[in-house]
Amino acid sequence: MKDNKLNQLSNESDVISPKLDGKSTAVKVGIDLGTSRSAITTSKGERMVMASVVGWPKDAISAKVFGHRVLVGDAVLENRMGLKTCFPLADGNLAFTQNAGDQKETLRKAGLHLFTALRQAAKAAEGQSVHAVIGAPAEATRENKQAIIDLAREAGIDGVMVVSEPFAVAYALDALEDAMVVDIGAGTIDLCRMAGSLPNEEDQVTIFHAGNHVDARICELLREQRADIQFSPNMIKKAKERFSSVVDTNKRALVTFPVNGRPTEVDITEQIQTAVGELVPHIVDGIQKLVSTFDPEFQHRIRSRVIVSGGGSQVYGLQEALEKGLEDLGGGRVMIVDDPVFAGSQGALKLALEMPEEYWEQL
Amino acid sequence: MLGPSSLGSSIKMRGAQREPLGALLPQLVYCITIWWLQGAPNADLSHFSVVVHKRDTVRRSVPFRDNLGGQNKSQPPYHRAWQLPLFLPRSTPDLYPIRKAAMSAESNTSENDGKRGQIHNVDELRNKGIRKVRVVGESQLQEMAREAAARAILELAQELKVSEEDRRSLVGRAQKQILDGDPGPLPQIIPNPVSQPDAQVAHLPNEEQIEESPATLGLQEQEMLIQLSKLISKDWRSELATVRDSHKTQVDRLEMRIEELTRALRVTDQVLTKGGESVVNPTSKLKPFDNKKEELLDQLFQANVALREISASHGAGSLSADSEEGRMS
Repeated sequence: MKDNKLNQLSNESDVISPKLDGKSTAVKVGIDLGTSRSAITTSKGERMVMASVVGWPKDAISAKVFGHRVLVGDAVLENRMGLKTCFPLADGNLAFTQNAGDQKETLRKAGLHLFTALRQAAKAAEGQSVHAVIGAPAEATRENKQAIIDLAREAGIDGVMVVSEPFAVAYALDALEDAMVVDIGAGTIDLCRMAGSLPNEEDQVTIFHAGNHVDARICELLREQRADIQFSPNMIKKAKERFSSVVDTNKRALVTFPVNGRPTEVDITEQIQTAVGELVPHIVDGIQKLVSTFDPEFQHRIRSRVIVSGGGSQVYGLQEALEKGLEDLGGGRVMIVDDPVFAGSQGALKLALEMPEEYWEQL
Repeated sequence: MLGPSSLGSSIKMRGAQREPLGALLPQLVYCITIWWLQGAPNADLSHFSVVVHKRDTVRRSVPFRDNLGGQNKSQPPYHRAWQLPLFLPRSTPDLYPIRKAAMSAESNTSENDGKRGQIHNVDELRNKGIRKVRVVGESQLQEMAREAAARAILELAQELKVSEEDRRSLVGRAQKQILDGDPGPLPQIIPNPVSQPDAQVAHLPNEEQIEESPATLGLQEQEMLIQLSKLISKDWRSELATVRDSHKTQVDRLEMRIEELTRALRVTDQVLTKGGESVVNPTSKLKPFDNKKEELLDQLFQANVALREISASHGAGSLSADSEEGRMS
C-alpha cells in the first residue's frame, strides 16, 4: 500500500512538476536591500517589500504575546513598544561591519534574520534552491559585499551575487548605455552612469545625504520652530512620504502631532520642503561629478537621460527641480521610473534569470 | 477552297516527276474551260452539276451515282472532287467576259457534239435570266479560248513558287503548245455530266493513292507540311511548356507556401513549448538576448567570483582569529 502510494506520488511528480532538488529548478530572486525597506521579487511572480528592521521581545511576557522569538519587517515597527528593535543596515551597508563587540554580533544576527525572512518570502519549496541577486549601494565596500554574501548564504540562499543597486535599475529598464541612474534611498543616494559595460567605481557616486537625513533634518527644524510638538522619527517619516515636495503648492502638509498630550494639527509644509529641497543640490552635484568625468563627446547623452528611482523619487516636483539644477550644466532631461519601490529588485531578478545556469552552478 | 495554287502544285508535282508538260495540256485546257464556264454568272449550269466548288449544293441536291464500279459508293462526289484541284478554279473578275463567251462556245460545242443547229428561243433565254447574247464565230471562239488559256497559264505560273527561270521555261512551253502547237483533241464534253463526273480524271491519283502515298505530294507541299507540322508542334510544345511552367510555378509557390507555414508552425511550437516550460519551470535558463548583456553578465559573474574568493580567504583568516578569540575567551 505504501509502495503504491509512493509510486503514485512519483508518477504525479513526474507529470506535474519537475524535481525540486536540482539546480535548474532553483527559485531566482532579486533583492533590493535597503536601509529602510527591502524589496524582493521572485521568479514565481511574488514580490514583497518589508521594513529592514528586526525586533526581539523585550521579555518573556512580550515573547509570549508575540509568539515569536524574533520579528522581522513592518510587524516590528507596529509592535516596537514590546520589542528591542535593530536596523541591520545603516547608510546602505550592513551595520555590523562598522561596529564591534556585542553590538556587532547583534547587528549581524539582525542581518541574518533579515536575510532569512527574505528567503522565506521567496516561498521556495522544501529542498528547492534559491539563487539571489542582491542590490548593494553603489559604493559599498568590499567588506560589506562580502558580508552580504556570507549572511545570505548563511540564511540558506544557495547562490548569491551582489550587484550595484543603480545598475540593477538600469538593467531593468534596459538603459545600459548613455544613461544615468539616480537611486534615492533612505540611507544613500546612488548615482551610476551607464556606458554599456559593468560600472566600476569611477562610474558610481554614493551620497549619504538621503532619506534618513531628510527625516532627521525635518525633526531638527520642527524642534527648532515648534518645541511643544511631540513626535517620533517614524511619524516624521510617514509625514515626509505623504507630503514631500520641493515646489510651492497649495497643498499643505497638515499633520496631527500631540501637543502636551493633545492631538494638534500642525502645518509642517515649510519644514518638509526645506529638508527635501536640500537633497536637490546634492543630487545635482553628483550628476555633475559623473558627467564632468565622462567622455566630453558623450556627456550630453547621459545628461539627457537621467533616470530617478527609489522611494525618494516620489518627492513632488523633484523632476522639475533636478532639470532646473541641470540647466547650469547645459541642461538635461530627468525621468522618474513608474515603479520606484520594486525597480531595483525587478532588475536584480532580471539579472538572476538571464544569468547562465552554469554561472550559478559555479557559485 | 483550292485554286490555281493547287493546280500549280499539281503541275510542279508532275514536273518533279519529270513528265512532259504536253501530256498535261489536254487536261489543262479542259480544266480551264470548265473553270471558265463555272465563272459565268448568268449561265445555265444545270447540266454542269458536277461543278465542285458548289459542293455543298451538290451534296444536298445531287444524288450520287457511282460510275466507278461502286468503289466509292459511300462517298459523295464532292469528296472526290475535293481531291481534284484541277476542278477547283478561282473566279477572276477580269476573265468574266471571256468565260461568258466561252459559255456560248460551249453551247455551240455541245451542239456540235450531237445537237448542232439547235436554236434557242430568245424568250426561253430571257426566262432563264439571260439578258444579252453575243454571237461569236467559231474561229474567234477558238482564239478567245486560247487567249483565256494563255492568261490562265500566266496567272497560274505567277502563283507558282518556282524560280524565275523555271517559270519562264514553263510559260514558254505552255505558250508554244497552246497558241502555236496543236492542242490535241479537246476533251469530250459529257452530255450528262452528273452521271459521269470523274470519268475524265480517272487517270489522276485518286484519294486513296494521295492519302497512302505522301511521296506524291510536291516537295514544296511537303516542306510546307513539315513546316506547318513543326509550327503546330512548336506551338503545342510552347503551349505545353507554358502550361507546365504555369503548373510548375503554382506547385513551387504552393510548396513554398507550405514550407513557410511549416516553419511558422515550428516557430509557434517552439514558442509554445518554451512558454510552457517557463510556466512549469520558471527558473529555466534564459539566454542573454544580446552580446552586450552577455558581456555584462559575464563581468558581473567574474566580479562576484573574485569577491567570493577574497571572502573565502578572509573567512579562513577570520575563522582562525575567531577560534583564537574563542580560545582567549
